[in-house]
Amino acid sequence: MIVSSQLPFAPLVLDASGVRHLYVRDEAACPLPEGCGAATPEVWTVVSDATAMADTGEGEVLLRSATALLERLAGRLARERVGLRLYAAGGASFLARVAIVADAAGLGTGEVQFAPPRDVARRVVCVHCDTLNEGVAADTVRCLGCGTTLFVREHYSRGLGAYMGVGEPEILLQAMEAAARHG
Amino acid sequence: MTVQTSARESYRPPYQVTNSAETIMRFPFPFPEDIYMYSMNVEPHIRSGPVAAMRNTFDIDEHYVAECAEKARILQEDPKRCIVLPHMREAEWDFVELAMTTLSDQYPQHFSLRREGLDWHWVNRLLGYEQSFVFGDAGTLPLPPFEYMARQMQGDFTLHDQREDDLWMDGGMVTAQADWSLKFDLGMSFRQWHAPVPKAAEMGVFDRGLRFLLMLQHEKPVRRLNWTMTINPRLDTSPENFMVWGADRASVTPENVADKVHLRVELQTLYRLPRSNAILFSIRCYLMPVRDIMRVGKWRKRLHRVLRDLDPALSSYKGLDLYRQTVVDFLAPYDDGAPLSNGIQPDAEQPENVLAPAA
Amino acid sequence: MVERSGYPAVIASVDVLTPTLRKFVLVAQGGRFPAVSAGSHVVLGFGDEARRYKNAYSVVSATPDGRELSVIVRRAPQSRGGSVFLHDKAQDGTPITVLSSANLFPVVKKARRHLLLSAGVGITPFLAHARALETAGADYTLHHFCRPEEKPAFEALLASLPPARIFIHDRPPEDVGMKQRMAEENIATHLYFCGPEGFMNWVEQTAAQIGFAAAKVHSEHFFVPEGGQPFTVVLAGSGQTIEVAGDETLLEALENAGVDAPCMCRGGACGACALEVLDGVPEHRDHVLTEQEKTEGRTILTCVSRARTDTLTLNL
Repeated sequence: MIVSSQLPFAPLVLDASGVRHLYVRDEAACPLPEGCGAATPEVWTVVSDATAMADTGEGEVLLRSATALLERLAGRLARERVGLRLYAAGGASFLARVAIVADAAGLGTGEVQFAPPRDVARRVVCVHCDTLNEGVAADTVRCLGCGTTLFVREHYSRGLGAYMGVGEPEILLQAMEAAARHG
Repeated sequence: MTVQTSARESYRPPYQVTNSAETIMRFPFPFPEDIYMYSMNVEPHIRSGPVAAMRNTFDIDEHYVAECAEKARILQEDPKRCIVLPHMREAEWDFVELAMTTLSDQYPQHFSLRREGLDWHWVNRLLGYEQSFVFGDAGTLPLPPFEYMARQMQGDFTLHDQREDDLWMDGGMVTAQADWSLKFDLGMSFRQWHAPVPKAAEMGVFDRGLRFLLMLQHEKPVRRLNWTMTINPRLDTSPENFMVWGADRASVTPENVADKVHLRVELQTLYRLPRSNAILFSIRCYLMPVRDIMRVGKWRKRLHRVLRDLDPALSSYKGLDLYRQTVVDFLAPYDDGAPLSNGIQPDAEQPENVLAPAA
Repeated sequence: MVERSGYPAVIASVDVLTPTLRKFVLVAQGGRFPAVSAGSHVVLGFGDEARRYKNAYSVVSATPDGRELSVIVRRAPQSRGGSVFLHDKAQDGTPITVLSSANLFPVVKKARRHLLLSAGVGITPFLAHARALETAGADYTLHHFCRPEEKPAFEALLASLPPARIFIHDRPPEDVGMKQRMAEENIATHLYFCGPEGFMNWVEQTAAQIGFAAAKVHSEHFFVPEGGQPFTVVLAGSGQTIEVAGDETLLEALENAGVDAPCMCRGGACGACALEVLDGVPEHRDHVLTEQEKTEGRTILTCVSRARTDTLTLNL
């Protein structure tokens, strides 16, 4: 058994138990779910282009930003009927935000798939001051809110869409370094 | 149990907490054997047990007033220590009923409850509260029902919704925790909130524990002991305030070890709640300094052996690495290596005096 | 906290709903019943000098003050006689004990909408759920399926609920467009169903066809344990030998012999009563063990399952 609080990442595979399929991705380079062909998913792609028009009428929907895509997704899921399967691919931060939108719309286990994130830029919430720090690729980050150097714990909150960041008092860091040298 | 009726004690600097002989002898020492390994070690929470702290549904001791005052202060500083999701409303009332009926039944000198249909009258003589309310009508209490009652009890409480064959932490009041955060873990499943515990997952201990808890029945609560160590008698060892208390771990010396280092024991009890089908997890924290543990021969020897032979991964997870050896070195001269009886019960009626009293 | 002896009660009234369904109102004697969540069953102890029964029934209603609770019992002539006893012999004043309660069929409280489908006596858990959802202000719809001659009885049972949320059909689900109605549900809807086996199969297959995710489909396979061939059980721990009669369950035989055996649902649905089989071949009748576990035959659910061999040795 895997014990982890991370999102359940796995390669995307078209789920034949669904009757409609929607695939959202934060860049066009993300491949389609495996098994497309038996059924064709609707595809929404972030193109990061302010001239993009959402309704091209050609199947694929192009969105100007991840935020634009997520807003559109929230509206769509609020009206969606039973039978939809949602697939998401992209960066860790995008996937975290998709999960929040899907959970809020009442999608559950077996209705959403998350591809393994294609980057390691995670969201980190400061446990001391609640500030959300975006795009953290390293193991530490200086908190935008309280200035603490946060160490990123491997503990993820799906509700917050973020990893936990906890500071270490300077004296403690020095003592641990000293112990490591002498040990 | 004698309960002090005013808060003379302080769980933050300048620390001022003392344990009477009675409190020492009723302490739920967590090691039944000389070796410790993580396990679910669950048993029925019946009204008997090897030490007095385990013999009531919810244990009230001499620190009651001071702990409730500290809890109120923490909630004032950080309201996110109490969060209950809207779908747990029935569980809130279940908690009120369980707490009020058992406390008034088991401590009639301190608490009383009069019920006439849904008209309830609650008296808490220790905190000087008196409240008439309509059971089930939150508008008749000064605070939301769970918060109202949890503020009047020692220890932490979490509420767990059962769905998809898992238990989801969908509410709680957490002010005396061993380095975990309610606001962060809120909404997590049993497996998710245990994710940081090393080794236990590979041992399958969580799968077995979860399967057991999913079938927990009303009126058949269970309990287990868990432990860690804390520097200073500090209830609030939260990640939220780690920058405030974390440095204490580097403050232990051979001179202050007996007074600074505390064994922190959680008497964890779990209840199926009947109205909501939720599970209540009660985490009652006891802090006992090494100086007081020294006063029970069996406990000082066993603590020495457990800490000396502790799995390094567990030592690290519990944050003991900086001072564990100091404690072991301090205890070693007091352990003659003689075999000790199994179980946690003390080997004497009264505490002995091994060390000179603290300066 | 009460001891295992349970909560004493008497039957305060008996309502004949249909020729096979009766509603019994129980009143607590000298105390209160514990609160029960919607979807719970209670294990009732009753009988006469000749025979004691312990049977599980869904609670259809309970008063908030803990004084009364009600169950609906279907007369099951094939069963070991508990329902026949209640139908033929129980009357106002008959003593009965509430031994325990548990909930194996709760609704998902977080869900934004609930679709409840029942047939026949499968209505019982939903009587409690519909009332609880109504009180909570939740969004739900109940469709109940029954025979035409039973319709007035169910209309009367459901009369206190808003008509816009309750639909009673005297034709099968496929004849009233139920599949289409299910397909039109919002993606947030959770589906619950309870009823006879054929109805259960139809709902299960239909839900799968229209893409309901398994985690949103909830059912209660409730059934009354039936008798069978008598057999002998040997307890390896104590060496005790216990005879299981044809009209009692293994669990009942253990209990009658004074053995403190685990149990909860008494209907093969929860798995709490599982015991290890050391020798002999079990005849599995539960809904809990996997096919592999059933083939291996090392575990038995004592509340419903029996033995293919004359003797069964249990690790107890």
